[in-house]
Amino acid sequence: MTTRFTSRRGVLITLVIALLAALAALALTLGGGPEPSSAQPPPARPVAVVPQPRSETRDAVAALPRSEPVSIDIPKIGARSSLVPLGLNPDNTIQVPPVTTPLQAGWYTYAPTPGEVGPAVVLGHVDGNHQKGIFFRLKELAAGDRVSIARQDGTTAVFEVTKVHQVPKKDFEAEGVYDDTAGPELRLITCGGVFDRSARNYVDNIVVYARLVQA
Amino acid sequence: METKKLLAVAAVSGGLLLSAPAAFAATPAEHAGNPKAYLRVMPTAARPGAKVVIRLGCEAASTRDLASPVLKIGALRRVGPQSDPAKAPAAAASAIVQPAKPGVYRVSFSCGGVDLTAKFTVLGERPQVAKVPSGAPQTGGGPAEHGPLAAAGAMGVLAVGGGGLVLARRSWRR
Repeated sequence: MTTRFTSRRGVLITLVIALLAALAALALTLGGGPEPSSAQPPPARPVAVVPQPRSETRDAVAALPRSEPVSIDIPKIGARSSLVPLGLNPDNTIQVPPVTTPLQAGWYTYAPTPGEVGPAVVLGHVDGNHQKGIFFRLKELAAGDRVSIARQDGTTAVFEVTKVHQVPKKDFEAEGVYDDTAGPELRLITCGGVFDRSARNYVDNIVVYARLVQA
Repeated sequence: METKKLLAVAAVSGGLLLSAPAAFAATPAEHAGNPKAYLRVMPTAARPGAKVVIRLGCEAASTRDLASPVLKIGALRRVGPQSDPAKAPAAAASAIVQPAKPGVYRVSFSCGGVDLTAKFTVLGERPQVAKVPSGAPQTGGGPAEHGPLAAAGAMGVLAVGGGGLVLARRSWRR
């Protein structure tokens, strides 16, 4: 009798412990278990990124005059946002939209406006505030995808992606993201790669290069 | 016929593009006919308005036609030893970069009937990005799964579960 009771209790305790473990695992998962995308190996990237002189392309579209951008639309990855102006932090790093509103994208005001000759720069968070950010799926873009930017003068500049790079942050300056270009171009930037939890920082940037195809 | 015409037009416009400054073919600055002759521009790239120095060496009696479409070149003056048998007699001139579309342009001169050319790059008046930021953009708050909320949630489940276990054991003892 006693033996049976003990063994039954043992089974029950085991069950309770198993249930606890399952619940704990579930809680971690609900908290946003590892996104399938973050488990994927990083996309192939050039070992050495050498800024290449950019020559005129024959089908380049005429550049637009300066006009501040209002909003961005990337249909392929469902990214739509107004654009807030971004400048420089006191340490000369580029400002980013508030991480507490990760669905807000912004544009860098010291670069040309989208449609002008030169590299216009738009930044968005990959995540923040424990939510997915506006550029969570930025790395899914590929050559040929379209990006539209509405401007204050009523025009819409349409860009076509030419390449997508994943760049270690330590090599970002050598990537030449802000280098002069022959025509109107666009750079979309977010974070990517592994999240270094001790530094609370992603180790890579995702940079999408695009050129104006329609205005 | 119509197609041929189109092709011809395409070929011609392609050729024009190739002859644009950016597509200037690399030309050795030394020439086989004058092995010691050379032509250099220092620095090799500058913005309009900048002053650069052209240096050349030529053994031949005549040095003529030092020219570039984007450089306003001052008078040539002899520099260094003029009778060193190991070196071509050198000359130098200063030049001002003229307003021009950014790109690669030719600098050339004639040394005893042999033409030498060098390349010179005109940079944009101003960098297109007026202030280049340092470092890399910090565009991520961290994946949601590692957030403190998720950790707190897991702890909560453990605590509640633990409490439940104690209660369960108590009830069995009764």
